[in-house]
Amino acid sequence: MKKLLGLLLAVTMLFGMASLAAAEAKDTLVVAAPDESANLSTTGHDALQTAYLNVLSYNGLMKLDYSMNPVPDLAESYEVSEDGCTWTFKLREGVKFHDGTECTAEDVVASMIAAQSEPNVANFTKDYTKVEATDKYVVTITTDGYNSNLLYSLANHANFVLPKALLESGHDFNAEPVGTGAYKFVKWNHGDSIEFVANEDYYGGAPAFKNLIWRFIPEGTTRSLELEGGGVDFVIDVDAANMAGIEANDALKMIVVDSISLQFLNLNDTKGALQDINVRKAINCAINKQAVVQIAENGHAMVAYAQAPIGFSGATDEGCDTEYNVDKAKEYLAAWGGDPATIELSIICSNDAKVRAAQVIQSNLADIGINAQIERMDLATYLDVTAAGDHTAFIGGYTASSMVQYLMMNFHSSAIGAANKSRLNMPEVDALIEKAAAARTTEEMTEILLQVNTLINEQAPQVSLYQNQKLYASKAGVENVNVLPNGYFYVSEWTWAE
Amino acid sequence: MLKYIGKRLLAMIPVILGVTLIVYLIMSLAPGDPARTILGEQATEEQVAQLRSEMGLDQPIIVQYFRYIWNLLHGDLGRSYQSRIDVSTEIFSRFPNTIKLALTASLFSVILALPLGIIAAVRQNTFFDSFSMFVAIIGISCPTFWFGLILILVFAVNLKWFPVSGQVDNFKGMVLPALTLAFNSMASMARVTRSSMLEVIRQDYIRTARAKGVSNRNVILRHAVPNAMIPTVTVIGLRIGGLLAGAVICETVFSWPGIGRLLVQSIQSRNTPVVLGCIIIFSICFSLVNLIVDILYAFIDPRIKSQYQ
Amino acid sequence: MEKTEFKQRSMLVETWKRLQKNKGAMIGLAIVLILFLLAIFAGVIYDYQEDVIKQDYNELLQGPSAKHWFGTDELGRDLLARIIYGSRASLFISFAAVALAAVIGCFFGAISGYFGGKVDSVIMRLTDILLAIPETLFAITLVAALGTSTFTLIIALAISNIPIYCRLLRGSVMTQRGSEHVEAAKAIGARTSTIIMQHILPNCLAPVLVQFTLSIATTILTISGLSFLGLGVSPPTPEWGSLLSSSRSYMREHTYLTIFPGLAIMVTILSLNLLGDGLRDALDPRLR
Repeated sequence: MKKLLGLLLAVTMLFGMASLAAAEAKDTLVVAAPDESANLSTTGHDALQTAYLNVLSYNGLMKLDYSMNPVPDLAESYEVSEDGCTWTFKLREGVKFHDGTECTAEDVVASMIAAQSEPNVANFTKDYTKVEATDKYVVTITTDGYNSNLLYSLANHANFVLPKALLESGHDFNAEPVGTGAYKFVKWNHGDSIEFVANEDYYGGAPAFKNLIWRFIPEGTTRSLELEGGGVDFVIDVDAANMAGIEANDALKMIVVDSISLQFLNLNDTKGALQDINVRKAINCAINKQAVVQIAENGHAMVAYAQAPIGFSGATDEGCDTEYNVDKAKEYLAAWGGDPATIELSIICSNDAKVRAAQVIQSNLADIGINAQIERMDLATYLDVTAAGDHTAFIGGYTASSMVQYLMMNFHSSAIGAANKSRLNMPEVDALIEKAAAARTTEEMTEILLQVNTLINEQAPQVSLYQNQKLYASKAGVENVNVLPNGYFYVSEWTWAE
Repeated sequence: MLKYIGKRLLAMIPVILGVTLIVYLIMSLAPGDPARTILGEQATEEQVAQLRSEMGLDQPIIVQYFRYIWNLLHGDLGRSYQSRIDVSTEIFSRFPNTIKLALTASLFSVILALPLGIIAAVRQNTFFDSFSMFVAIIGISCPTFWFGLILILVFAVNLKWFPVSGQVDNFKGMVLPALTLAFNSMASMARVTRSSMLEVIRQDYIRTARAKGVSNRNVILRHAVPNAMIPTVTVIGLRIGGLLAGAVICETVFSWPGIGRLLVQSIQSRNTPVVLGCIIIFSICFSLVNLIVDILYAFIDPRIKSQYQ
Repeated sequence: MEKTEFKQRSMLVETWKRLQKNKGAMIGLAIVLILFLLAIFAGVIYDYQEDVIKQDYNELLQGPSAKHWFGTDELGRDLLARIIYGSRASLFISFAAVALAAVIGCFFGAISGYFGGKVDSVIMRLTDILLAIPETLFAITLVAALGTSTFTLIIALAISNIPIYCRLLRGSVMTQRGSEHVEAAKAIGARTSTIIMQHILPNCLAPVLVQFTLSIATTILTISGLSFLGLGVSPPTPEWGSLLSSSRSYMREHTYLTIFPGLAIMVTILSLNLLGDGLRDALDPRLR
């Protein structure tokens, strides 16, 4: 008995000692990410988690700066023709792919043409009609009329540049990315991590961290605890519940970014009582969004009232009637005239935070007599059900890189069956969105956007809940970390200071 | 004996086929369209429909099933819908991790359970006996993931002895996941070891040995323990099967890159080929372990061996 | 006829007497009874609308106190109330599932054991198939595929439990089939169903009862495991596994949220196991 105890003690001591060892020069950065991508292609997905990885290894003609403006990346400069239909991009010379070949106009053209046949990124390739290499370093892009959205699309992973030779030889970009980016792909340990090594020839200068390990840790709390325990250096998507603990720790720091991603309670406007504008307005007024933010995001989000995200020019609260007001909600219900108990509302949720938000909504709606159900679905079922329009409601979010794009995806009738899941179908709205996309000056565009946003707000097609903050955390030593409002970040700019 | 093993191995084939049929049916009953999941929200209905027909998903389930079985019989598990990699590659990049976890866990549980059970039996009705049996019954009653969470809280967060999430390539990173997985099986092994030891100790030959003046220690180690091992081996065998299943949850708690997590993820994305592949592997392991246990029996107990002839 | 009844009653009395001597089993039985009473009378202690699902944003994540013995959860709901109500879901689902499994499993097991031959081999091959898929995995697959609801949970857990009972009863029936009193019943021309129901089944119930107790325990564990993977009952209905699962985000700062539901599960399983072990010993003293 005593021997056994002694043995146990000795073993535990051994482990205790081992943990004291190990402190070496910082040339490896470990990032903890929540989801493992199924594949690493630039065009086979529209997921932020995979976009992070694309940004490491690839570049596009354009990229977004920290205030979300498109700026030249692989392009050195660009010009637009008088009629707005011809865009000429002058490429940087001497940029090398990871395989050592030079990146030329031919590669850009081949990549963008390949991207056009990929359904996953259809939204980012429909802004251009023709792409040509007019010189070794000149790419000419043709659009159907002036389209301010093109530059944003070129900064999207869909239009990142891959080597033409490998594209033609059938290289498996799903498994092994080859681009011009700051980090070269080394190895993918499926289910665990992806290893990268710094691209010493990166045109923007070699990154400070020689090795980059991208670990997949699905549990939010585990990611935070790993950071605290020293196992990782940077955490993507900190669980809001862990934020206070990280902030209290001097060795760690939080990076909080106001995101332009809007979270909403989607309503299917073609189902039952939801067709009635008064019912939708009643639901809008009945929900205590402040409480939703408190519960779902631990208070780290901005309550949203308008139907489109605030933060872009052209955003407005005009036309909204979405303040929390139970009496008003009841008035709207009275205007509708039906029995609230007959309203069918089944809220689909695909993760824990959404379930938390839905529970608040469920109890708010009970106050005005609507019995909402909560349905937990996995992503596959959720996508299928909502794309087919078989749902009544779900909690979801949408991130766009411009207001025009947001409206186009969420409220234009051409997106019904795709991202327009409230199934709003108003020719007037369609026309205004198209007009805004074709506007040549920012002032003109903003004016049209204000108009269409007001119109949509008045219709209350769904319930905006909040614009969340993207939460990241790192060891205090990781410096120069900046994150774009859409969540992108550039690891190549980061440095380490003890 | 060889004939018996051959017969058992052959009998596994219809069982595995049956397993694939059941799982195939369940997966095809499930709502959610793999094609839509692959193409995402931006794809149009036509594109989704086209991919469905390319993948053969528009054909009757029975046709799809037989095509799958035909390929399976040729050793082809198909390709993952999501990553477009061969299922066999996908599975065998993670299967060793699960095996590693399950084996370490069984090792832990055997190392802990045998002494616990033997000592408890030898010192029957002492404090040690009641205490260790109490620990054992707690082990059986404890939800795996809860125990894992508690271990993380105590040993990783507060004491910082071990990493929070599992790490495949170093021993320290394996301790907590393996202990979590081992606790339950350790408990049942300890209980069985104790009760079979108690039974053996009462046998005549033990009394004879004692009467002959063999030291107590030798009586226990040389005579009693080997004879008490039969039920214990069964439990060890059964528990290895259970460990494989428990791995699903344990791997989720510790972010362990094993086949269990792959299975859960694949079910959720309707990745039928990977789900089938994982379950086939699990079932084969399960059946093989059972076979090995039966064979071990024969070696340990000659009485059973005679039945096979 | 009268004689067997007398024999059974005396057997019950005997079993009860032996069970009483087993301290662990009695403690287990007591706790199980208390849990049942709590589950049944939960509505008397707490008001479902007011105490269990009503959210209170002024009382979010409060640690244990005199007002809330087990503290409050992330929506300001009393954890003790939710655990007590949670026992309803956990116990109900596991009982329903195991009872269903026992009935179906025993039915096919009895047929299989009594008739033997082709019927037997077909049924046994089917159970082989079900047994080849680990129980938890089967339940996960079925629930994930068919969607999460109390009903699918019960069905999934029932199906994965059927083979155990089928095997168990088949074995007992086979030994009973050749026994003298069955031969006698056959000789006087009793109907097959009568023979099975009145002469064989009553003698096979002891192992089924033991297995029933133990299955409930494992099933509660499986349900909580499923909830942990996000495949449990839908909110706001409290269930032990989902209470645990939703506590994960808070386990660092609010450990009690993880500890209490876990303890509830553990104590329940513990007492069911103690009771099951005791029953086994009491019903079959040779196994001790």
